[in-house]
Amino acid sequence: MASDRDSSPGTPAWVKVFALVVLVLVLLFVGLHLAGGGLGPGDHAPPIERGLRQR
Amino acid sequence: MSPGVRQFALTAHVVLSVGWLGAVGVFLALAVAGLTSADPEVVRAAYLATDVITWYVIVPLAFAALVSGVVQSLGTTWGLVRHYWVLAKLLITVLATILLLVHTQPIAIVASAAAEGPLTHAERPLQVQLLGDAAAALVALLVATTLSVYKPRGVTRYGWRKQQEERSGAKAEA
Repeated sequence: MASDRDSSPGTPAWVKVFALVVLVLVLLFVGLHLAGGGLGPGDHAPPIERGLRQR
Repeated sequence: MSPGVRQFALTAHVVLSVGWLGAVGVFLALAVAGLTSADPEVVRAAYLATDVITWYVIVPLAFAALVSGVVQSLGTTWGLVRHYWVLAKLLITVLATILLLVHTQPIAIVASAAAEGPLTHAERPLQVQLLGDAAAALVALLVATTLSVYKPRGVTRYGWRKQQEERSGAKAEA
């Protein structure tokens, strides 16, 4: 593992790439959902509470 | 943390995180089976199983991995916001957990439809969405695992400041 002893506080290139990818993915996700990818009425309850196991 | 506790916490975090990755892999396999199988009973069984493993395996493991990761980083010299790779892993884990909770809705909808009877074309978009979500989650967790192993170089401004303080403290003591 590389030591950080001589690292400057500058942002490494991989962090910039990572941040850009995350930003693009978040915008894509929000855009897709705002553009009609709505999930419709759902239920956040676990399946056992929704009675799926009672069938 | 003492060395024994640190080793235990690290082992727990690795098991929980890799377990989460494995469970998402199972979800992906079920989503593929649900979308591609010609047997309606296999399709129904696959989506009923996705709902169960989401609530009883994936969601608990996601929270456990998040908590154990935070404990692990705060209890060691790595810190939570000192190194970019730890920060990136935290961001991936938090985002993945939030998206997982958001996507319990389509999982529940498809599972409820599967519980009622054979799926129709109305559920098709959600079936595709579940496959995409599982694939995206798998990639995100693979990135997080890779970051843990490679620990790429880079300290944050806060981490760098802390390092400088520790070095000045050590010099003052010498």
